Amino acid sequence: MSPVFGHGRLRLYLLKLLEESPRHGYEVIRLLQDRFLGVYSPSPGTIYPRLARLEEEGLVTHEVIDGKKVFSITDRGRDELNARLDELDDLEQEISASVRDIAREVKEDVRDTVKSLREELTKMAKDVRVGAQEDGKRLGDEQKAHFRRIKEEQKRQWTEHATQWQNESERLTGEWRRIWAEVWATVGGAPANRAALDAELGGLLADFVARVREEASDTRLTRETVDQVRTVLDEASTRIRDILR
Amino acid sequence: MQLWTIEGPERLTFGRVTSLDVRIVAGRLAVLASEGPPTLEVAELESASPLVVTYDEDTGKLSVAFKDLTWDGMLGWLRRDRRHTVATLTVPKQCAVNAGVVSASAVVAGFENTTQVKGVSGAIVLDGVSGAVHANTVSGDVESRSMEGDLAFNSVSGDLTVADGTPRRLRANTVSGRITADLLLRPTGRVTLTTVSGDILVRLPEDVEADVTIRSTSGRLVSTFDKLSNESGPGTKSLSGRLGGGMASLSATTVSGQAALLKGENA
Repeated sequence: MSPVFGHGRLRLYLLKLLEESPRHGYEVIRLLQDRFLGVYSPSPGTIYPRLARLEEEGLVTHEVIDGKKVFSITDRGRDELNARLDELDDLEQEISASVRDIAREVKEDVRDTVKSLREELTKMAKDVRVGAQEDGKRLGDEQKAHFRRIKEEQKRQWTEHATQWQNESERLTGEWRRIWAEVWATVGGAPANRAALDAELGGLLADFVARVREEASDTRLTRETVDQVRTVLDEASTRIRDILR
Repeated sequence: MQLWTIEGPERLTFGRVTSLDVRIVAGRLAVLASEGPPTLEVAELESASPLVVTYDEDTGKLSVAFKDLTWDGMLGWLRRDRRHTVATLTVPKQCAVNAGVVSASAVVAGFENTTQVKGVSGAIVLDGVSGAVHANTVSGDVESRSMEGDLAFNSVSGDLTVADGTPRRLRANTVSGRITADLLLRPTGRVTLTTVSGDILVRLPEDVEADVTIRSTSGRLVSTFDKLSNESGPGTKSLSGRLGGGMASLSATTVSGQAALLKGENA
């Protein structure tokens, strides 16, 4: 809890927020969170009783709109606010000081995160390297054997792949859809419109890939068909580029 | 159009702000997204010339800068007198932000529109910035946490670190800076990292769906994903392949640096 709101100051700030405009209780909570950049986030259990108390004292009043209480300040509330203008100035000062603290905290926090990430990844890469050096020669030999094995297996794998793709592609279609729905449901950042359109485009691409895979799994691919497909894809991507430009 | 000249600690509040332009030399700059009234708070100012603030209520343009500091010839800023400023700005998250620092450190948090940050030697911290971000520095590091959307980074020797990033498009170019990135890739995600001598360390989730290529002319290549194929020709080495079903793309290229692709936990 922020030390900013000691000594009945939350009450003063609530009056100020309601003086700016009538608001829902949850709107007041959101505004408090926003002004303190999420660092101070009061619970409804803190705010609603306060508003009820202010109402008992006749400083605010509410009306029910669409089943929700909308609070607004009364003349008496305005009087109290005017009488405490100096205090409000102090409070604003302290809020800006706390915003400054928040900026410092954000910075330190990010720097810590980033530093430990750097250390972690550097260590991971180093461990791999140490491993790789020790195993260098052995790996080389293994790789040769591996390549031989791969060659032998390739033929068999193709047939297996075909069946696998058929099953996979069905799963993938569903999977992509799910991932997309999930990913975009959690995006708070990008502008809503753009994000939605991006999601739609991603969905289209994912469906396309899944469909092509499904069709490809039914046939035996040859170098010629792959080349033909590449030509068609290149044409398509040129046209898409023209559209997107 | 309103104009203020600031010579010491001061606090100003503005009406609607849609774009912000701020340039300081030394000290600390913080630009934070907030729904409250846009404010500028100057906590410290030691300078021979005043800080000039202009605000146009019609267009919502706010600018905070020393009069003789322009966007052109940023290196020229270095030669000027030491001007220590500690300033904090809070503006709405939809605001377009253009921030410049010489040796000052900058923190930019929470914006969703276009954000441009230029620095010379000061470190730049970006927290939860989405939308399109351009960050350019000479020797200053850029540290980003929880980015989304587009990030373009250019530096000479400054490092780039991206923690917990979900880029739609991430382009990073540096000469000797190191690039460290812990990323989550969406199907349309596209990541291009290039250095001359700086190392590149990238971590992707184990179940990532992406086509990846890492190349180095003389540096070491490392991957903890085992499905990549190794192609070492004379003069260049590369590791490439499709992880999962592919779709997002990642390419990392360095001349003499090391490039490592590391496997993280499942996303």
